[in-house]
Amino acid sequence: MKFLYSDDLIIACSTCTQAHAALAVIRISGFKDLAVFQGLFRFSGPIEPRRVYYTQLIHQNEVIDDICLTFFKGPHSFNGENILELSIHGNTLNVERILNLFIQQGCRLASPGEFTYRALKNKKLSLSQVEGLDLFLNANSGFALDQGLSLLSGQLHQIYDELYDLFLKHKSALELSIDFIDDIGEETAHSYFHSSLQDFKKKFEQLHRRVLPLDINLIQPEIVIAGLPNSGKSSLFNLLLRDDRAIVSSQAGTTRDFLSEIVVISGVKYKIFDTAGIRSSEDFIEAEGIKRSRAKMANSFFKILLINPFEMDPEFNTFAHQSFDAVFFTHSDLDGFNEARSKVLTQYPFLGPMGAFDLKNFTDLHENELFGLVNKKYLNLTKDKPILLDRHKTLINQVHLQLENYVNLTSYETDVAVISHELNTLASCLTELLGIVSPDQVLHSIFSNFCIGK
Amino acid sequence: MKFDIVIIGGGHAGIEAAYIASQFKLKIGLITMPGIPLGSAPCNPSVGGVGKGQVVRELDALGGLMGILADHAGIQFRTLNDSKGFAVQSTRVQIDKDLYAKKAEEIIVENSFIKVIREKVISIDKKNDIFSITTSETEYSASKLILTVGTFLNGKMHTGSVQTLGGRIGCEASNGLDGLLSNVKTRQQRFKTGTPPRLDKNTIDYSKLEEQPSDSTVRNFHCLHKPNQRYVAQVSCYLAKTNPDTMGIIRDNKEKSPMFNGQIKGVGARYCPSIEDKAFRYPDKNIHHVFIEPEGLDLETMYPSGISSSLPAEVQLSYVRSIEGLEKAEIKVYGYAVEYDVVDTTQLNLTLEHNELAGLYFAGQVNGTSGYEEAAGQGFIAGVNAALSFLNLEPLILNRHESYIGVMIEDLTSNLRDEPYRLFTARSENRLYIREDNTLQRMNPYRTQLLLHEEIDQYQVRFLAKYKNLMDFCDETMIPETSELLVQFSGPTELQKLVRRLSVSELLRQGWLNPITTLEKTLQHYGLQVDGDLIKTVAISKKYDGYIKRSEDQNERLKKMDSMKIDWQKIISSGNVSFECKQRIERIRPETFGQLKLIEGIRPATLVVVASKAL
Repeated sequence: MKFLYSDDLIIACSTCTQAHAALAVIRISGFKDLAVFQGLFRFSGPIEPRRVYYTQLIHQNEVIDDICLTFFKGPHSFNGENILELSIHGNTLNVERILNLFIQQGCRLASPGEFTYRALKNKKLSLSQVEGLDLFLNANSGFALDQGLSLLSGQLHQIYDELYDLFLKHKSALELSIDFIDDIGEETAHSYFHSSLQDFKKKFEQLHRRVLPLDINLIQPEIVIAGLPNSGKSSLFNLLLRDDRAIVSSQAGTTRDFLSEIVVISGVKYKIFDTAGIRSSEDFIEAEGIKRSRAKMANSFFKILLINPFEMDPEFNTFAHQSFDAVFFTHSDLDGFNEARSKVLTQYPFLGPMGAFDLKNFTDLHENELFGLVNKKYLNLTKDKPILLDRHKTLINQVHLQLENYVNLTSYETDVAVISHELNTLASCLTELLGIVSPDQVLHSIFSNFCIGK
Repeated sequence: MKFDIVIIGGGHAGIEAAYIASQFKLKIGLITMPGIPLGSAPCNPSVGGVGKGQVVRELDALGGLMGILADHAGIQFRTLNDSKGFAVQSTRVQIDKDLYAKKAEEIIVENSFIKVIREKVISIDKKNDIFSITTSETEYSASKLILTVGTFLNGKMHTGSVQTLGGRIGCEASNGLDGLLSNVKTRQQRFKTGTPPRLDKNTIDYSKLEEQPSDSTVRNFHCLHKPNQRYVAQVSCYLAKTNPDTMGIIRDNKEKSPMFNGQIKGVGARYCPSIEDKAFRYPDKNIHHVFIEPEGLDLETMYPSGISSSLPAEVQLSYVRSIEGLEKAEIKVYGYAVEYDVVDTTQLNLTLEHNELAGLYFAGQVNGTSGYEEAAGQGFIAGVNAALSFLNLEPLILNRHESYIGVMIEDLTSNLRDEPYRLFTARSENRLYIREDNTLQRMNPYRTQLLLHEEIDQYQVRFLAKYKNLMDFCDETMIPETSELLVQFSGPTELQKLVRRLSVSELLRQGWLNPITTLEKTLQHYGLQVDGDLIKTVAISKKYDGYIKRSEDQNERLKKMDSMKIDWQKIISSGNVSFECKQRIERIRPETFGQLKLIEGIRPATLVVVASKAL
């Protein structure tokens, strides 16, 4: 992580570099004076910040490209440094040539995230905003896009700020009852202590309700198709993608690892997985595939179980102990299907949505049924605006546990020093989320809210 | 005359500095203003208090003077926060001001290593590492110089529109100590403090006030004094309350208050507001506590704590008389405010020596603190370090994780304060450990470092040996599950039934038991005779054991983080630090995260970013 300490001139192409496009945008950050580049432009007058100039890029008296340039003068740029932004023609060779030209002038190719890192370093963005930017740029759904934007604009931070103030008030209340009890009296101190704790708890629980279990990944939601070998997983996978990506054969154990593809359902991008059929295998590679399938299953967003009622196996027990978002019976076209299905269901009573189809006659109706279930779950989970970022989720969960302990302690412990000790433990948990609460801030809060002193 | 150490100022900081330095058998000169007794108490008549009681005991264990004086002059003893847990309990003693000063005079004047000089200092100079001090009478020289001049640096007093030069009522002013001191930076913003009017004790109707008697069970401060012996008669304090009339009188006279009409520009402490502050800052609140405290057994005055004021005399009398019980009160001395210059303590290092002027130390109110205990604590640190430095020995620096004195010194030297500094327990990160009961355990290693052999040193060795024995006894003694002790100590609920064999230490940790009485009864059960101080500290130490271990881990992590090197230039060049904060960082030049954290006004978010090593 050398770039943490560097203040080199950095350059990068900010638009897609994988394919030819009409335009590309190159950004250069960290130069002290625009004069270092001025020889490269035909335009020779003074360049004012935040104005667009149409000019030519010149190298050894030859025109390289027609460009538009904009200068953002630090600290009034997105990362606080001087930034030069060039709109150039998007041919990938052209982009590469121009990047090289600037590298010859002393620029260095930026590491991923380095521009943003400088914004963090220069306090242009908070850590949460940087996380938001990342989420925003890499969002797989409109919802993630929204949350990225809300982090970026500091909305979540506002909630954190409010929590910080409430925590500070509670900590002050505790200190009040130790250092200033003569001034404030036992009764006031007691009521202030409890009401401030309730206020903090209430606000925090609102936040905590927005934290879904860690294993539900809404940033990159995954759909997993599981089932015994030969239950038709790969066939369904192909049908959903309308593609022949998974090799389908009637021999059990063909899919040795999992395959994944992107499928878009109601505007949300899902990764869909075809997993290796679960069965005890002698084959080493297949066994490894099975192990990985199981791991994949554990933390996917939507789990589909396929059952071929004609080919049951004792291995099926492992599925019976898991929960699935949908269970589908295949081979509904074969004779005796209903009996076979009833037999399975008597032995393994599944809850939740269930369906049946014949993979040879899989229609849009079947697909809509399946995708409808996926979308329903997604909408349900996102309706309360869950927190998406793992760092925040983990921290909020930690604080939640610590807060429960603390509230519990305050109900019976009479030793204020012990209570304050536990509050400090809670504070150190909160620190990463809200920032450090220093004694001076606590005292300041006491002095500005209470009449203290003899 | 030539001295090893000269101390200017005979207040609580000065006498403490002289007393500890004298234990090294050095030649000490203590120069004090003629007419002011040593160790006099110009404001409230008490010693100790929450956090401050710990300081007095720390001083006592280190070989200080304050505890001895307070015990001898103590006329009312109390334990504050009695019901709140052992770690935050503190002793406060009301003192007889006369007796306190007399005892101080007796001890200091009779000390053969200290020469008390009652002259006014005119100027100070330094040549070839030797200080020369010119007084109204003659000239003295010294290798080390300690300044404990309190509020006398350009002091100015206010009562209504009447202004007098000086640091205290009835005393001469000591104007701008020029010469050498022109090289010492003082804070641009002067500080202000105030004191209430003193009431004639025979004109108060005590029957209308709530009485607070002395508590005979409170332990004396000085470790060699018998725990509960009282040296003088005990008296009570009384509680009175202001009412809407009182506050109305003050609000009606706003334009006559030097604090609010612009006459006083100094900054007072928010925790020690004048009655005017209370009236205008909290317009909805009319009932404030006023503690009526005797200033001495033979003195005619009572100190009404909580109504310090600089209003004109007639307004003071009128609001005092509006208070129930004080309707007929006469004022003996009117309240006043005093403004004074304060040294920029960020120029001092952890021994309170000036960074650039070697051999020059500052301690007490001149450093911008308030309180006798804070002054004494600094006086000790300056005195002991001046002596150690004179003898070319290692300095004595108290860790902030082990003492309130350490907390205070680090806070003062690493941070410029916007108001007078007072100790609060909230300032410590290690409150469960910095207690009154375990002062000897905490302070003995520091005292030992001084290589002195006084009576208290022998006492500490004996005490700590007994302490270790009793701690071991608690760890090693297993109480069988059949013991009647366990039945006796079982709590009312199912979870609190003691049904298995456990050690005495485990027993003491049970949440529903008072560890002290539990240990007393257990020792009785085993037929052991142990003195009360020992039982108390062992019981409390055991009770907090688990918490303290956890907080030690936390402190360890904190220390690690605090010692993380930072680049202050990078921090101030990053746009989002306030201008004021930038200036502070530039002045203090913090090298570690710990120092940065102590700078006032640093935003929490900034700290987190720095802590996550993003800078």
